[in-house]
Amino acid sequence: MSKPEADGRQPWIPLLSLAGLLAGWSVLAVLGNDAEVLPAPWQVAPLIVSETLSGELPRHLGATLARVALAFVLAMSIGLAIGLLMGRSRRADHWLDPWLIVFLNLPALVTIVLCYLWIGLTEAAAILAVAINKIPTVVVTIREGARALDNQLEDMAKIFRMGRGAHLRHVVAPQLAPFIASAGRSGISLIWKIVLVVEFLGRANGVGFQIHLYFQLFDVAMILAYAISFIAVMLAIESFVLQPWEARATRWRRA
Amino acid sequence: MIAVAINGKHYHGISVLGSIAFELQENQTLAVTGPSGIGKTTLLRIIAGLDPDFEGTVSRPERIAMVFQEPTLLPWRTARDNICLTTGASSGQADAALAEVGLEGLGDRFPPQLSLGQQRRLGLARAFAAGPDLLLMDEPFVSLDAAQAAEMLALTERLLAARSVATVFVTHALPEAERLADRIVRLEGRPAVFAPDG
Repeated sequence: MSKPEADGRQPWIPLLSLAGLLAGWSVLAVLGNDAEVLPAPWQVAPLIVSETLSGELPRHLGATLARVALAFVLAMSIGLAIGLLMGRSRRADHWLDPWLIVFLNLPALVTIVLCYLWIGLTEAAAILAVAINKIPTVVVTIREGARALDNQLEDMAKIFRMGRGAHLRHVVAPQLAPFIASAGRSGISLIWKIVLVVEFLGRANGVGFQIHLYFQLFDVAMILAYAISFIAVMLAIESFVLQPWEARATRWRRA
Repeated sequence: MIAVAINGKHYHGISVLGSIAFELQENQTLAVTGPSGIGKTTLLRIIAGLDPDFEGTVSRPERIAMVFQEPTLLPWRTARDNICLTTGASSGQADAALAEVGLEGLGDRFPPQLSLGQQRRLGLARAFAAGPDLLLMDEPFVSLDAAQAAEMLALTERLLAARSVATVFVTHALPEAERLADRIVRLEGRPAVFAPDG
């Protein structure tokens, strides 16, 4: 057994938990005994390998990842700016809050369809539609963070005449880091799901497009192969990018 | 040097401060005493320029530093960075400032790794490292035990003696005021004004 980490977490638990999920899937597949409805993991795995070797899986994964990345950067940047404004200015909050509620309740499908109708079946429309869906939730999270900013530190920064850049980087950003991380983590999981819908409805490549294709062919195994591959990529991003960044940003708490 | 002429300060229609006027020269220390809640911190915030919503004028120098009631440090930056990032001091200057307040060798520690007394010393080091023309101190020894407060008082006295800086020092403890200040004024009444003997 590996040594527990400082926060008491056992690093092998997530692996064991995922293995349990895999075991549950296997049991259901065996009990169902119909590979067309629910193929077993050992029937899906060779498909992932063959699609990877043929170059199809990397091509579609790459297209989806690029859309996720662009929409993520766009949504986080705009959401961060609006959230900060609403969190720090009561007047801005009063004016923009009704808009926020409207956009929070706007169904993703409506935004996607309208963007395609108004802008056309283009890459820009696809990315904009995804970003519009995500921006309101980023705003809500960052607004909470901005409201919680320590006023005493703001006073200190004013007294010592810290420059705007230094103030943002050393006073505001570290306080917002947990909120940015939270918005980022929930954002990336939401964005990739919406990207798939966008691709399903109006793109000629990407994991969503492939799922649409195999949906028409009723090929559950290929649908699972593409979905699982992309989930694996997102888990890797979560484990190797987001979590290390969050750990670095909050290392002072454990010092 | 510094000229304060406040005609009034209101909070939600309630008059908090009345007519308050004084001047302070370089190298002078003014202590403002008075009971809790009388408006000492409000007065200090007006002098600092943190509260522009008052009637009157304040003429103050550009280079100001403040020692707050709470240490008010950046917990996610090291002790050295807390000085460098806020005052523009170099690492060497920051280390010298830390040594001057008895925190030699602790520059790499984060504030949560320091005791309250050490955090207050760091706040003091930061204020003096800024090389201010006006130093504002808002009850800097509050919530320290008697021994720590005495140490901090002696340290502040030494640091002030070594510099030529106008200082406004807010406290509710008269012995602290008598030890550090050239002039002592007392805030009293509602709206608060300087007591006639102040």
